Amino acid sequence: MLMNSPKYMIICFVALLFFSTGQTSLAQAVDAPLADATEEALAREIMTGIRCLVCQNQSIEDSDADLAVDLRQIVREQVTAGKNKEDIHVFLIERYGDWILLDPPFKLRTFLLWFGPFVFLSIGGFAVYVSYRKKTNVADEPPENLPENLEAKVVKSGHGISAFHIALLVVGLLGLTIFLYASLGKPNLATKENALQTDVNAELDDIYGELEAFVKDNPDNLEALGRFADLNMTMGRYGVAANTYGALYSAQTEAGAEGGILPLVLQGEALVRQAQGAVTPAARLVFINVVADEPTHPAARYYLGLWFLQNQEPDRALNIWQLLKADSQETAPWMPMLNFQISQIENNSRTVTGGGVRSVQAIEDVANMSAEDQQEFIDSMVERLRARLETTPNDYAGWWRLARVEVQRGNLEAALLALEQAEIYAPPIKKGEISAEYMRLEQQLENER
Amino acid sequence: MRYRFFIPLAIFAIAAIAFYMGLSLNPNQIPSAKVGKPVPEFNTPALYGGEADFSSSNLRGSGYQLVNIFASWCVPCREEHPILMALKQRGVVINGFNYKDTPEKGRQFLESLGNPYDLIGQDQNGRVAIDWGTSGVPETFVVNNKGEIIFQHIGPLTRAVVAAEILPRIEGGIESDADE
Repeated sequence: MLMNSPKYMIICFVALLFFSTGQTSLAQAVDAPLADATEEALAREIMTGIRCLVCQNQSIEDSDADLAVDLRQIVREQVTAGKNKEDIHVFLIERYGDWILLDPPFKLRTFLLWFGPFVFLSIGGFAVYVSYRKKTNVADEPPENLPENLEAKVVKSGHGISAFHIALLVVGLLGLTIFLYASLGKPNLATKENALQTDVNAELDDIYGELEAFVKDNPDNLEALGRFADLNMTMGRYGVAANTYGALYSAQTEAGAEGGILPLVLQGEALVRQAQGAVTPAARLVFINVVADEPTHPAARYYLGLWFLQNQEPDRALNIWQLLKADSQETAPWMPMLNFQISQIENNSRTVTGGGVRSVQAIEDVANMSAEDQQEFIDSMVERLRARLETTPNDYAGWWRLARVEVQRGNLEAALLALEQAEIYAPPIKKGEISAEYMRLEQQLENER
Repeated sequence: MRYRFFIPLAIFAIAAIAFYMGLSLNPNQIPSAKVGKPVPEFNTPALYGGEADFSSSNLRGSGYQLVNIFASWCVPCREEHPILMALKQRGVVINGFNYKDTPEKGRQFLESLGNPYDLIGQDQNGRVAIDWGTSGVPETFVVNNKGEIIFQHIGPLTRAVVAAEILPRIEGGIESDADE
């Protein structure tokens, strides 16, 4: 608990500031050391001062990166060849710059880096001294006709105010800095939310352990089974949740208790969530059992429709969903999702991806069209694709297809815009291909001008 | 003189802004040491037998060109490969080092994805890449007419880098040399 709290991190950070002088090498080099012990010692000493460019804050002696292995070998070779530390540093700086050294060298450019803190400290000290002096001087020279005891008071208050102000300023700035640092959460300071999250998780773990033991000892306790299943569902342990809901339903039926079909529906839902939204054959069976018991159950019908859609039978999915829609009230919570799914299927069957007989028919229809009608048909297809991409822009393949259609229609500028979108949403491995197509098209456009 | 009290506050504000900007820098950005220097001496055997070896003399006085370090085992190299192909189509001269790779795999890589390179050298132990100041693959260098490195890009090429850094240097360089 303490380890994750921001307070602990700040303490660690401050401690690091004070104590981070020594270097410890946790991972020793696995490569063969030099036969000569003094040469090996020199090589090791040089390695600890050289930055591994891959891991960046490790020395090449500590790092397992390929480049670090190569550089270690080079250091050993050069030490054997009689080169000293400076020679090797020169060799490396020539290739990688000063940055390859973990300790930046003294140079005109690095003056601020080395002496900056002292410069700022002396400026600050000087400023404090001057302001302190001024206040004391004013207080030291009181009007001559003042009585003696009043003079002492003025001197005292002069000292008091300035010292107090300085202390306040220093403490305030320090506090502000720490506050700013902690609230920015950089680098990797645990934020409050993180700490809270771990608290909640730990608590959940405790409850979970207790419930699990209780359910094991009392497998007929319906309430405990239900709670345990719900808990698993909220914690994302969908496999356990599905099994427990199944057990609950059997126990409930055996006991002749009332509880209805709900555990079975939840079992199906847990299975769907376990498969990341896909209706598996197991889940389908569960929903078929639900419908057998309660033919109008909306969730079961929705998921059965989804099963058909996922198995390339959009017509059957549409059929089920339209019946469900007809049975449901407009305000039912599942209506937005249902309407979205239905409109998706209807759109797709009208555009390119409609399966089977329908699309063959469509192709024949297009072939029989007049040139003008064909143009109009293509235009309407592009418009529909464009409208779909506007609502779901993360479909990079869709943007790419749009770009190709636009090239065929001769709209190179529109194609470039579509490729730009495709580039944004494409996975890295496809990005280069899209960029290359963009570059070719761009040049084609330049040549045409 | 009341406003004097705000001077430390102003200094603090400036320092806070400076620190905030410093913290938002990308710490992975590696400063390049080779830019502005002549290409290192090297001589690498050709990837394809029968072709000319690739050595530093090929880069002196032979125009503005790219030197790209690649390997068949490197995924980002596959990502940037189509961009290299497009650059070649545009007329950019590209030479390559096949880094820590067997010649067979290197050739296989180019046969399946296309070969954008003019000269390709085998850098089997990775020493030539170290001489170029490389920290990993892929990396791309722009070399000018005099055989000096004028730009180094670490990581896969992107269209933005090509448009902003590479093409202006190569095509701009060729034009300005022609003017002289």
